[in-house]
Amino acid sequence: MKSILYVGATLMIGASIYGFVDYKKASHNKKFTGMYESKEIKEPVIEKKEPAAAMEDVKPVQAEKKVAKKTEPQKFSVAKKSSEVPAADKLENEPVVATTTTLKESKLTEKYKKAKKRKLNTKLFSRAPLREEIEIAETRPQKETKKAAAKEY
Amino acid sequence: MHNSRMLTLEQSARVFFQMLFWIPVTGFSLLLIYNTLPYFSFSKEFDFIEERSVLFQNNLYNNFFYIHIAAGAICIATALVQFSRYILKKTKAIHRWSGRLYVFVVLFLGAPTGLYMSFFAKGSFWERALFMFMAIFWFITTLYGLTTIRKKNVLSHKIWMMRSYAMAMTAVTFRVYHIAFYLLGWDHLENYESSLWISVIGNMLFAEWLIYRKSKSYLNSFTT
Repeated sequence: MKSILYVGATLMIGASIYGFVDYKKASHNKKFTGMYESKEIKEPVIEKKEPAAAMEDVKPVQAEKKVAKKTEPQKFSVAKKSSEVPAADKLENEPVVATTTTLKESKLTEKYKKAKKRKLNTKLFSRAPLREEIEIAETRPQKETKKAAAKEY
Repeated sequence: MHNSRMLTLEQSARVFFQMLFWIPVTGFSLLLIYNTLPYFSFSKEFDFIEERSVLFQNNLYNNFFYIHIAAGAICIATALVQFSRYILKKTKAIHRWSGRLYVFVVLFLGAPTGLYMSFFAKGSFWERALFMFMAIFWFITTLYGLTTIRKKNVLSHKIWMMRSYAMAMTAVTFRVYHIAFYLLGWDHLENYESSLWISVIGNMLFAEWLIYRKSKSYLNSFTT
């Protein structure tokens, strides 16, 4: 019985000594002192996508390429088949294709609404800083989304 | 005077309140154990570890953390068996062996590692002091629980073990308060500190209330 007490007490005293010494060492470290204060909770935030018109204002480069898309519609159809296009033309055409997709995506996102919800989850049952989960709530029916997806494709 | 109907009603009410207590306690305890298991993949991609990434560079802290969470999971799992009167009546061996495991884990693993980690705990000086107090109190109450049963003092053993279990259960109740305050929209640090204090003081008070009730009925048994 006494041996249990002695071993336990030794471990406790040892842990407190080591803890104190390590704490003193760590307290000089700036990373340690600001460890809990500076740490921000990482949230899976989905940025709100602006409508197409607003995007044109912010990024004039994309807007120029959008005009190019309208004047030369045949080139885009060719651009999808990358093997047929010469290497020099590829550089010009590739970003244009990218802008068309972003524009379409932005139009689609107009119909979506973002809703912030605090969801209960079994993973929240911990000492770790709790994350806020953000959900995107769809406002239109599924049939429309399927059509839009088909068009986009 | 109690008639048989009154006694049945009292018994059923007692069973109901016991279930009301033990079902959430068991559920949350198992959930805590379930959430602890992924840490043994030894991945560093957990919010808790990422937040303390500076501390986890220290090998001693790193090892003590894994020992502590393993010890905590074992303690909570074994303690669930300990308070069952049914198991105690049927097979005392289960109670004895799980009790020995609980005592060993607390005295040699859980409390010392907890004491070491308390120096680096989140919060102000007072939160760290509270963690230290928890580790020491957990150690002392468990040790008293052991010494009393060695002296065949069952009532005293029960009382000290209730205090020890109340301290072990702060891990569970902390998380419950933490989620509750999170849903109320509290700031993280404020939530953390409040949950910690409420869980420790709340558990201690609850244990003392149960002990008071138990000892009261025990003392009354001499008068009637």
